[in-house]
Amino acid sequence: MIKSLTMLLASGLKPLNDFEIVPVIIDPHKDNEDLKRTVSALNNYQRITEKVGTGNGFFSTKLSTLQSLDTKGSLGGTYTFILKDVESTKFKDYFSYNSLGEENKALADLIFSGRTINSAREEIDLLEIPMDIGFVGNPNVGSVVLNQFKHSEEFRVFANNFGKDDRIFIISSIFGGTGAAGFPTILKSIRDAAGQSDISNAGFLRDSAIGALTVLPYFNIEVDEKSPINKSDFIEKTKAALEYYRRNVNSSLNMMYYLGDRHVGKAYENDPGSNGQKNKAHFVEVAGALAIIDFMNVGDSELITMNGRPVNSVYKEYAIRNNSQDLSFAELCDGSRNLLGRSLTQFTLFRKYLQENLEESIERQAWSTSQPSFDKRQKNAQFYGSNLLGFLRQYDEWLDELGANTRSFRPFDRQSDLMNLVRDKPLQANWLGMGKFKYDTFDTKLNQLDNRQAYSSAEQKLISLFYKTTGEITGEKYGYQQI
Amino acid sequence: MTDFIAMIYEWFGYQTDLGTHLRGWDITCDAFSGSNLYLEVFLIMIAISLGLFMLMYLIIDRFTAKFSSKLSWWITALVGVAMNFGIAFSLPKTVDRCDQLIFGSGDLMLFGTANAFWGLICFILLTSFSFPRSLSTNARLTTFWKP
Repeated sequence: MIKSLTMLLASGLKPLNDFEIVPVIIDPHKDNEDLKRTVSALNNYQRITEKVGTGNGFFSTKLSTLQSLDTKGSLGGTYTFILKDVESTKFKDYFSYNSLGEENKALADLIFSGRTINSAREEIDLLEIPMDIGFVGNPNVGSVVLNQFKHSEEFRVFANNFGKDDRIFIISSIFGGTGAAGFPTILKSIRDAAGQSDISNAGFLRDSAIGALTVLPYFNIEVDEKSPINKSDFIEKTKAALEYYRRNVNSSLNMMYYLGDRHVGKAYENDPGSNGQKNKAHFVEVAGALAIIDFMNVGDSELITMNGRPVNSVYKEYAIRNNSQDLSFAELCDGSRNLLGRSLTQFTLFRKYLQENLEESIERQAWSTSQPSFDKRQKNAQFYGSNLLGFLRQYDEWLDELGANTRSFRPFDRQSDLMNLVRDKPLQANWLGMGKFKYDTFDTKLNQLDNRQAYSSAEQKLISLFYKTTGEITGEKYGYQQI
Repeated sequence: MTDFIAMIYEWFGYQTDLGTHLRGWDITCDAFSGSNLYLEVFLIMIAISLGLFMLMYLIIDRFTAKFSSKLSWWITALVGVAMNFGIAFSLPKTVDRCDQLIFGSGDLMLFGTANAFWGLICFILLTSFSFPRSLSTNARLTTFWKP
């Protein structure tokens, strides 16, 4: 979800008001490949905005780490909240089961009485579960461990930097362990912050605008009797959690987004985490990222909270126009079609140009040679060669995965020429071949717009000029309006 | 004006008889009442330079961004060189001359070369300053040496 949000923010999609987003990822499974890829994309994004600022269309929302807000420099990590005492630790050791009295032991045995399977595919007691790959579908375990959040340094830094107009958005899946357990625990920590003496701004936190996205089952998973993850459990766990949320969670939220997909697609590898857990990006994650933008666009008057209780709680779902297993922009409803269509088309045009035509144009076209010039030296420098291209490769990978998943989201045919790039909007040239959209047209538009503005650096010129140019192109050729 | 034009052209060393003919020494060998070919050739040279500038920087520029490199500049300039040479070489022969004036093809070649050279200089000057080059979209930074 965060990766999809990062990609959408990079493509120029932004809330109506300026927000700085501080993602805090809570995952005990620090070797999770998806987590690593997300953090890497966030890092590239952050380095790009550090260099060019956020007023350039693409990459126009500031993303910061919690660490960067910490004046004492006491936090480690980047975007991740590091759970303590979970590495190489069994659940029962986490709460010192062996040192409990007989009565408490009996209570723990009762509450955590289930059986599960470890990464070596051996059946074990729930109390024996190793916690360094997450809570593999056991929210009762997660809720104990994640209670450490409210006493953590991360929460203290977060609270000390929390302002009156700041908002909180919590994303979790409902059918697993970590997210399902963490969401109510974190929500409670925030709303009950006033009871903690060691944190500042507790009143702001208690009455903050909180939105949440709960992801219902949306992907299929391989059947593996030796794995603790079982597709048939998804629905039962979801039902149980939904009921729990209805009674205990929903009334604490200003806005709740539910997302899921009943489409039975190609099964994901059944990996509880021991192989790194690398799943393909899915359209539900894109829709989830839109929920975050939507929440940021809600007016303050709709998000009033008094004494930790929202005046109104709003619940939202997301729908697509056609129940197709191969989605393009045409299958989306008007709002998201325009938002995603415009921004992703712009960013994909930017990517395609850099990949296919930059070599041809650099140091030749006026947009490249005008001051500050974007020349081959700039192209080989760290900003372009490492940060921007690194991010764009991650964007490619993200689009590839969205397209290869089922249900797929494949709005572009990126191997084709510019005329057929957007799948549901092939462009037509007139009978003389005039008006054909090619890189020559692209260069002319770049040269035209470059002539009208001054830039502070070559890097800023690259980002800003391409945003404006692709914005005009998508307006003229595809009918998308710039916001 | 004619004297100035004559001076800069005659640096190229052709016979002074050709210079006299170009100044408009008429067929009766009485007075400078004939066509002032120096001025005509010079004005045509200026017009060609302006025309080529418009062709490259304004007209072709509207249709493509590809014709904006220094190679494009040199192609355009060489077209100008050829045209200016051809006009200066052939125009004096189309006007009847005083019998007493003696000049040949070699002199016309030198005159053509002079016109081509000054045409090139004119094109360089025309495209070296940001105005009128800035009227162009794609070639607004194109000169004989860049990009």
